[in-house]
Amino acid sequence: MSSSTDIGVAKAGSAARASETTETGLGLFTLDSNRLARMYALVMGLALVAGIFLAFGLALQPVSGAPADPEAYRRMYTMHGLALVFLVALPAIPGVLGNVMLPRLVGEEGMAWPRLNLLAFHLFATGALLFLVAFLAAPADTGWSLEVPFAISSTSGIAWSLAAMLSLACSFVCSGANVIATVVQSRRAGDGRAARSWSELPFSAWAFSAAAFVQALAAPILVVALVLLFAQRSGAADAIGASTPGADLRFDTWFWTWGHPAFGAMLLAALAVVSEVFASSAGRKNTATVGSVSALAAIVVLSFAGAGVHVLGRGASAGDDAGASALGLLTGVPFAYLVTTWLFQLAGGALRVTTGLAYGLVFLVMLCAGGMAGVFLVLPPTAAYLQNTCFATAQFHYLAVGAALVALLAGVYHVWPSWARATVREGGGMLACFLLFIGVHIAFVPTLLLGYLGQPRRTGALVAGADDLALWSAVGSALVIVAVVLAGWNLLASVLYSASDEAGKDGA
Amino acid sequence: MNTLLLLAATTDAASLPSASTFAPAVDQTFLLAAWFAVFLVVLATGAMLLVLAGGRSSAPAGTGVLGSGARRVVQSGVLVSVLLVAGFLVHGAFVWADLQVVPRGALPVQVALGDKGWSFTYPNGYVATELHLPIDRPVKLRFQAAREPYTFSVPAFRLQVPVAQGEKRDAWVQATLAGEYELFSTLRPASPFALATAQTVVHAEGGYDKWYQDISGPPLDLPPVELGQRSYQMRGCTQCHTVDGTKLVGPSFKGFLAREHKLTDGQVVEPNDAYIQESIEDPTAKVLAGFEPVMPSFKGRLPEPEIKGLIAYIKSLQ
Repeated sequence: MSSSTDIGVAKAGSAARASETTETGLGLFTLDSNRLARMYALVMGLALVAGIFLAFGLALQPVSGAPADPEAYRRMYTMHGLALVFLVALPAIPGVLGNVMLPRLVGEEGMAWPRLNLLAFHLFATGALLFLVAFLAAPADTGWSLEVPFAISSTSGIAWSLAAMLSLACSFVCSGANVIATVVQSRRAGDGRAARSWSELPFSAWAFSAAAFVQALAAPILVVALVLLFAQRSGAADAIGASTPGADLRFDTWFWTWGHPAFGAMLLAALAVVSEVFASSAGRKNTATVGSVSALAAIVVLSFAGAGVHVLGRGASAGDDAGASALGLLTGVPFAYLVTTWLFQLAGGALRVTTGLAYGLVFLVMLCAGGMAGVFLVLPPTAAYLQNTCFATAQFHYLAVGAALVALLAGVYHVWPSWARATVREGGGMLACFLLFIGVHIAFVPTLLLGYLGQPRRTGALVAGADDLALWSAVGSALVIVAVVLAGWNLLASVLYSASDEAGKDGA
Repeated sequence: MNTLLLLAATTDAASLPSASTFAPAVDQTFLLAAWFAVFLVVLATGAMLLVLAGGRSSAPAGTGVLGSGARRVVQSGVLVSVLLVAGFLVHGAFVWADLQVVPRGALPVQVALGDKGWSFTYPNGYVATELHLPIDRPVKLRFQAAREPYTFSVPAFRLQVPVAQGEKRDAWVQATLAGEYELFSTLRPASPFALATAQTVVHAEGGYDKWYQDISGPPLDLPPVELGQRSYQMRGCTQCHTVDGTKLVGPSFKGFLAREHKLTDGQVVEPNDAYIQESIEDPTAKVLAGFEPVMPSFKGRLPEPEIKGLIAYIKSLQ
């Protein structure tokens, strides 16, 4: 039983259960997935705030006219990337919304393996703490993607950050396995219900599973890359072959064999959330069709197979490059199928317009923009010209901020009434959503164009003619901060005000 | 809103000169993809606004199952997008092939990036710190292996060539617009190669040949002393050696032959033709006391008459 109308019933039950255990302590050792989601949200909220303020600093420095300190700038963009990729973009939706939504979607009380779930959170929190230590004591300066050979020779103490990434990779495996187990197990008979077939699972459960499968399967590849780098840095072994030609290419191949599917998983999890928001707004079941599940399968396959686009034109044969390019372009097709299908479904019925729905629709626009920007980066003539420029940065941010963060907010607003037991304040929510929508465009359309001017990424020094665009980009990133803070306050306020309302009633 | 911003910004971006045969091809692909992207994003934004505005309508709740019309639209959408992918790929393959295949008879220039920045070695052995290119003639760029990976990026040419750590590769370019353009590496801003920049000078018609003649050295049929003097001025000797007795990085040529000189290892050397020739070809073999062994070797870079000319010129300064 998986339709959104049924979820309301399940919510009431879980809310009653939660109230027995909720109010004591933070829940550092809780086995309750709702409370664990709250812990994830707490850590991620802090990382998000730290990360976006760093982003504003990064955008401001080139236009401020302040003397550039290249080393400080490197540390800033590296820690910005590490915190937001590893603590927000990749784990946010599975960690927060997976824990809140998935059990309800498949009619379970919690995740299949609560202790493994807790272990995943502890590994996540350990990673977050290690990043905090790194940030305060030894910020890495190699770029979040660990630019070899600089990552081998860097003396900035990146070991803390590497250890954090290792911990988080293990966390991704644990939480991914748990999602798959939960979905598979939910099909069993019991609790007075009959066993269910795969086709009865909602689309969102399929998409959460696909995301978990990709994230868990990819994470060990990151572990390999990290171990190679550890060994090379410690001098234990010439693991990357630092002295033989092409070390950068070899390491990047390992890194992006993880990285490409990892961001595929980020988008798959976003699809799960947004599909649920759409179905709920239209008051229908989030049915999985052959077409939509095939689209998910295609995305899973292409997210692994398409990793070659990250090393286009860097020494592979023409055939390999053409293959990578074709796979990269084809990735757009299953996404386009899902987006058009959803738009038709939305157009076909009565809608409850909520902040969650607005974020869901913004997600579609951003997915479209980020995906199309990706076309430039896999198409041979423009790919060669635009690689390592701000164009790549902007494309990535359209997907990570525009799509994944927006989908996270869509889902959080969607589950807020049951999760936080508070009424969403739609006015403020819509305003924040609108600000984020224009903020992302104002921040990243100019950044795309900076890339066209040849502006290299990861530097505070601007090429000729880049000043106006860089200024727009800084303005946009300020708007994004305002929008995110406003959304956070809007959600918190709904809880605080409803609490004080109740207190007022009690007093009277 | 974002479309307006895009248009406003492209006028700014349009100031990027189009200075090579690749530029129009890359721009064409860029614009094709850009307009397609803008079209889709505007379409998606329009759909978003329609859905938001049309909410709370009294239409019956949808079942989520698409009608046959809608399904046909989605199916043809998928078909069209696959065809578009194929179209993009075929178009891209042609432009890409053009970028890869170096035309016959292209002028070879060796490009290297090291701790001291970019260097460009011409067929006559001359090493320039700026990239000089003829207009409307293909130039083959032979990238030399370096300790760090780097890219060769000239936005005005819409050309960026990644060179992996320790590996060589070839590329080519044909400039179409005279002027000076920025050249840099977009990679590894953390390394000593951090955004290493240099100028690219595209000479107007005939300008390159004149420049090349200049760097190729003085005409060898000049009288020896005059040939030596021209060589002294053109080969960069003036940076370290004076002809008026002032001591710079290296000893002055004035009066150099008049007396014996002490070497750093305590030996004494008699300044004669053989010593001068050795000092040009292997400058660190016998370094004078009080000087550092910093002179680059000119072995193989100067024709024999020019060396003879330099010796004659130094002799004439006594």
